Amino acid sequence: MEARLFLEKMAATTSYQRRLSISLLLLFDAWLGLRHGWGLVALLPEMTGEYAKLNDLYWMAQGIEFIAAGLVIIHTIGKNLEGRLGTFLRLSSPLLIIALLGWCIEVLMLGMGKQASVSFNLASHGFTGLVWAATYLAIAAGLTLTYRVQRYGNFAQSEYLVFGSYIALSMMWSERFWPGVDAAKDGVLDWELLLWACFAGFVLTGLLGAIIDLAIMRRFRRTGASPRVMMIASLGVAMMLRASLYLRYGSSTELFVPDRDWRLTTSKWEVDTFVHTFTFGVREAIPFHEEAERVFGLAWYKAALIIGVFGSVIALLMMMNGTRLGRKMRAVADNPDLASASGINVEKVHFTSSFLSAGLSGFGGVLFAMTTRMNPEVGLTILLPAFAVIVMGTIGSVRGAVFAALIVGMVRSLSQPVLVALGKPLERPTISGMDEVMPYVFLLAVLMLMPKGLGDAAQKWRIERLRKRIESNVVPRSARLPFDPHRGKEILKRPIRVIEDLFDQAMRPVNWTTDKIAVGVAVAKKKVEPSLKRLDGLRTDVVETARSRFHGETITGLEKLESTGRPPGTFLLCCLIPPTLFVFLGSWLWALSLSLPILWFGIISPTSWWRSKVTRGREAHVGSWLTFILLVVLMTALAWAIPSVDERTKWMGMARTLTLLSIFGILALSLNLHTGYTGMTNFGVIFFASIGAITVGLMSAGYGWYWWQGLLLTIPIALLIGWCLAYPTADLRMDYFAIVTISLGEIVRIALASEPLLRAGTNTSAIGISRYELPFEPWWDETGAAWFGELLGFGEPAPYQMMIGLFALTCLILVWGLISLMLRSPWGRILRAIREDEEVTQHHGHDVFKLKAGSLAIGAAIAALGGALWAWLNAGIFPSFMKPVNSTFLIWAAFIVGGRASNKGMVVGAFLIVLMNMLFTAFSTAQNDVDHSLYFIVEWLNSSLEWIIADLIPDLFASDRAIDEAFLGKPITAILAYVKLLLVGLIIVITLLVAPKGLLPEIPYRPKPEVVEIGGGESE
Amino acid sequence: MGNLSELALKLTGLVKHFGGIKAVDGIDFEVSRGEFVGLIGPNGCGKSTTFNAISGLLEKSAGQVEVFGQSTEGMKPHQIHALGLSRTFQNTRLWQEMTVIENLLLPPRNQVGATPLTSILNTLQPRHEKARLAKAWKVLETLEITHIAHLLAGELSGGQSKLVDIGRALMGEPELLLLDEPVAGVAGPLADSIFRHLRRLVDETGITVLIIEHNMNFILRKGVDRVVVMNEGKVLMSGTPDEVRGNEAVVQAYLGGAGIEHELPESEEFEEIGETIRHKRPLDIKRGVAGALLLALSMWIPNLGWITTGGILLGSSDFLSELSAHTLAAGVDDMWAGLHMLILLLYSLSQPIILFSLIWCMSQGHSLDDDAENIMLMSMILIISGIMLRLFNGVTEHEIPFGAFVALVAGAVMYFDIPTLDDDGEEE
Repeated sequence: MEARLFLEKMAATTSYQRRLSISLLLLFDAWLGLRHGWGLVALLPEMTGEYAKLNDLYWMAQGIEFIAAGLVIIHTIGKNLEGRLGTFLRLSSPLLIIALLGWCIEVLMLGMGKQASVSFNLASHGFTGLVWAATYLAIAAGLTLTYRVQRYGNFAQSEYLVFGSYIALSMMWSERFWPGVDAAKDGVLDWELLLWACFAGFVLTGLLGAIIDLAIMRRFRRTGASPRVMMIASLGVAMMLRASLYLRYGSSTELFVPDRDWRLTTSKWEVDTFVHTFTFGVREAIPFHEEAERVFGLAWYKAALIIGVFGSVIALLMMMNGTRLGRKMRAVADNPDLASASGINVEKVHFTSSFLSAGLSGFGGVLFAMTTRMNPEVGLTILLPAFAVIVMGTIGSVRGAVFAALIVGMVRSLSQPVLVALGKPLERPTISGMDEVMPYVFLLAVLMLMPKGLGDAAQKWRIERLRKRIESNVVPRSARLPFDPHRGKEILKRPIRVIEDLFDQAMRPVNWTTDKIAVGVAVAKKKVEPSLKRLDGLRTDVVETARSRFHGETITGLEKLESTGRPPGTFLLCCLIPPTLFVFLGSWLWALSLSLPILWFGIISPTSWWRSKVTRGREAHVGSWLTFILLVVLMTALAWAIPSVDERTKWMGMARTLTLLSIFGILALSLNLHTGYTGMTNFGVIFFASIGAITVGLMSAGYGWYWWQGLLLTIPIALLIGWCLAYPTADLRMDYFAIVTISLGEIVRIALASEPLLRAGTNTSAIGISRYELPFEPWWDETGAAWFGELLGFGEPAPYQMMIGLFALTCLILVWGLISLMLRSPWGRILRAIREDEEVTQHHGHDVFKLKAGSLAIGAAIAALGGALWAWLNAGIFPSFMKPVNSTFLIWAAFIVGGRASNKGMVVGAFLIVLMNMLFTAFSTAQNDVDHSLYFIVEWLNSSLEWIIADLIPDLFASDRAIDEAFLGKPITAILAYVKLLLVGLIIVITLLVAPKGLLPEIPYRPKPEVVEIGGGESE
Repeated sequence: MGNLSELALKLTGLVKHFGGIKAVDGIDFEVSRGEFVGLIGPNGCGKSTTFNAISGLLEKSAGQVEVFGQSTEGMKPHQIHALGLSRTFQNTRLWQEMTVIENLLLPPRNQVGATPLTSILNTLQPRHEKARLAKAWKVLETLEITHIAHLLAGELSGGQSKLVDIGRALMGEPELLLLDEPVAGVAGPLADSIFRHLRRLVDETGITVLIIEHNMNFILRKGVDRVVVMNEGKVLMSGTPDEVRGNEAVVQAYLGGAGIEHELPESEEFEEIGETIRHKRPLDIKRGVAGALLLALSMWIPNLGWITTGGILLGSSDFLSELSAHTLAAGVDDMWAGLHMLILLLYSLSQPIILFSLIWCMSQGHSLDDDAENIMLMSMILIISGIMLRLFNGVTEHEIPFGAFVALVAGAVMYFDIPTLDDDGEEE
């Protein structure tokens, strides 16, 4: 009876009350658990008492439960309270969250019987926050401007900052300025170098940005590429820029010192400040809050960064709001077609905006190099927080970015003392490294609460207020003032107008010349065009007839398929065939003379087999498979041709390549499911892979599980994590989703470096996981190795790589087969529809959320398998394997080369990347070996680099000192890892430009009409 | 008010405002089952916003929308679609990088293989795909666009896209079809034949069509049953075409006094696609009984052990006390054992419930698909968990995996067509 009453009561409560009561219960449970150890989770360690490490897991779980329950309570109450009280609560929610964190720490410390004292130095932490804010803003301002006008997230933005820094460094090392820099400290600041560096940083970086825009991004705009494509292209550009900087300047860290007097201990402002110390936990005779007076010195170079960046951003804001150029930019941002129709030169506006956005970052980079030691790696570490900043401040809004930068900078600097204080009692001295993670955590939290950012929330609030005012017919306060406040603004804008007019007058001759040139080019093009067109038409005719001859029949609609000019992939084939022939014939003369007719009649000529059958048919099954087999055979031959010491090392190399191919293939298949099929731009492949790697390694090394047990455990874990990830990210835009996933990967990577729970192996204090069981290792050592060694004629047991290679290949084939079988179904079709248009798919009755979650989960499980294989191949898991440059970006390159939504393409793309990897491994052995058959390539690379650095770059930036600083006085050598990075970037950009669909494009489903009769031929 | 289910669509005080602008300002109208209604009004009067609020694309600011008597409060678009509603968009949004035929193959309801778990069955059982394809070709033939079937949707012209969009909506077998300016940009004769076809569809299959048309002249000629005229976010009037034509206010306010020709279409013979519209799979009693028997068998297998469903239901087994003993005792083995028994308990109790609902389905003549899907999902989970339990702690009882396997077979028997040599399934 009572139970029924209770049930009825439960049914009568609203979801709000239910959620509140459940979270209150959870909070109480977590409190009990943290304070007295009686939480529900406490049952677990007693059952599994043998696992000593569960103590750490225990307080972590309870802490998360505590904070999550508290957050839900604050969120629920804030959402449901109406009126003044509700507004007050919503406004004070940041304070409430801080109080919640404090309470959690207090309870945790009390429960542990320890104490943690957090001391905030107001000035120190405040200014550190400002420095971080300025750094993030230097990138975020440019990033958000590009977003506004060109609508894509520019991953190269942080490289612009690094580029600016290196301009400053080069100028510092130049013969012109070095004597001044090197002079003894005299107490007088020398401004000359700094000012020139700022100017050069702004202009040169701006020009770099504008040139990249002209050379690459404009082509994408012309073809009407989507923002996603442009974002990935910018990723390729970023890789090329980073690799170039590495090649030129090496990886040593350098500080920009415009004059030694900047580093004097007296070069700072003294600021009186208070240190507030809060002691949590067991306090005996210590008060909770203590206050002390201190003096904080704000170094001038830090102040310069803050003032410079914020000043430049304010100037940008004034320009956007007060000038014609700003108005034009906003017009282009809103509607490029309309803008061009109303007489705005859209290309010029794009040029200006990319100049400005790159220049701002370069300028910031000059100042940033004064505060932090630079190397090319710094770029990525501040790019992601900068993305967090613009997401939080609403993409496209510069003003929002300023506020968000302040918030994110403060969060990072204020989290530092808390983490330091917690490090000791929790026995985690390295935890303070986690402050790098704080912006990401904060970003994730912000995206969950406000999926569209701060600016959007503010906008909504303003609209709502306006609506209420209109409805209530109250005269606004500004109208009751005796003067017009907007007039003041107009007067302020006047000087800017005058400057702009003067500038326009000055630019007149320049504009006139550029216009003339543009007209001339257009006329010349028109003259050439007809003849080109004629050629094109002829070609199409020939191809049409050839195609119909080959097909033998005309299929409905197929004949209307647009025939493109030269089919993509031709160039690659032309590059691949001569070396392959060389491998078989052993002579370049023969190879070239044979390959020329083959290339012409087989591939280039309009009637060739390749053109008529294969390339047309690449979007059909036969052609696609033929191309696939051809490419695989070609690449295998190339891989086999790479020289090595003896048969055994060759086989070892091949086995390693095979394993890597399988791993990259599996990861690319997972990426393909997420991005190619479902359309979720996943930049966190390595996050899902790390789930597999870490689970397998940790379970084997830490808890002595068998490898297959770890594998069986990690699949459901990955499925679960993938599914759960869909909840917070379901409504996110594709670029936000990309940033969330890449952040997750970074969080795990940094945690792997500092979290003791993620360590296992011989020496538990060492970073990483090592010494775990590898698949089939005992069997291999006993029987397999000897057997294989005999089979291949090594005369000794075969290395273990061969076993893992075979195992990985089996996994790849299984996953590939299964996923292809699964995707050849209504499910796969619906996923592709979600990629094309989510809303319409939902309107045709498909539960988009569940389907996305399912795709995320399955892709995550596949990636986890790949990650586990990777862990087994490396026999050790270290944070460096998770760097996006080593993993995610390579897989993206494979994905783009292979072709979206094409599983065969994934394998080919992975093969290409791995082949490149293998080639560069061979180069690096050739580097120290003059007799090596590939030595000439390495030598050529080195001499080219030397020529570029020593002869091509003007002396101001390539002084002897600058070269010596970078190469430590040794001869100039090309570091091969970075040449590879450059190539990967190049491959991404070129593929996107030349063959946006990839080598093996998606095969559209074109069933024949005969299947109308049920029981007829089976559909393809 | 009458029987609610007689109404296909009922709007009560629907309001939608964007910031300060009220696009739809409290409109009420009803559409009965089997009616062909036109919704007209000048630009910006809120027609498309009304559609968006009905189909769940936009969250309504206030008011009620009922589709076939069910309130759509808080429903997502796909749930509203499940009530029998399909719609098209004003600016045609096809899935651009998919072929036209693929665009048509997506909307059919209850597709086999639309979830990751069942997706492989599409390859194993190509019949379903073939049936879908046949239907899609028929729709294309009706709309006279078979020649573009293999083009990518992104390559089509505006008018062709419109036709594909209509075809796509028809493939969803709607009971209530919302068309947003379906013939804008379609050549005159084809537009006529589309309207005639819709008319036939309404007459023969009894579906309901609500159509937005900007061109009033046009719609008044095309044989709609009733017209609702909107203006400035409100319903101006509603009535038969004749009434609207006779209403001076409408003509003056909206048409500017333009004359309306009096002409009604003659019905023409069209190809039959009527019978493909909206049929749920009927109950096959043989499969139902076979499934039920198998399910009973699967109940019996685990009941060989010391835990019996009957025992639990009657309270005669000491199972519960054993379970609590294991749960309270502290130890790894006890945890696994407790988990194992908990799963057994769930399993034992779930089976009578499923069996009961199955029998109920059979007595009511409902389709078994939903039940079967649940059975299959549950038994898959049970099989996997059973195997996991065995792997990790060597639980010796084999009942769960075996019983669950039989249950899986039972589900499959009820859900899928049993492959037979002669193709005489119940579909068509």
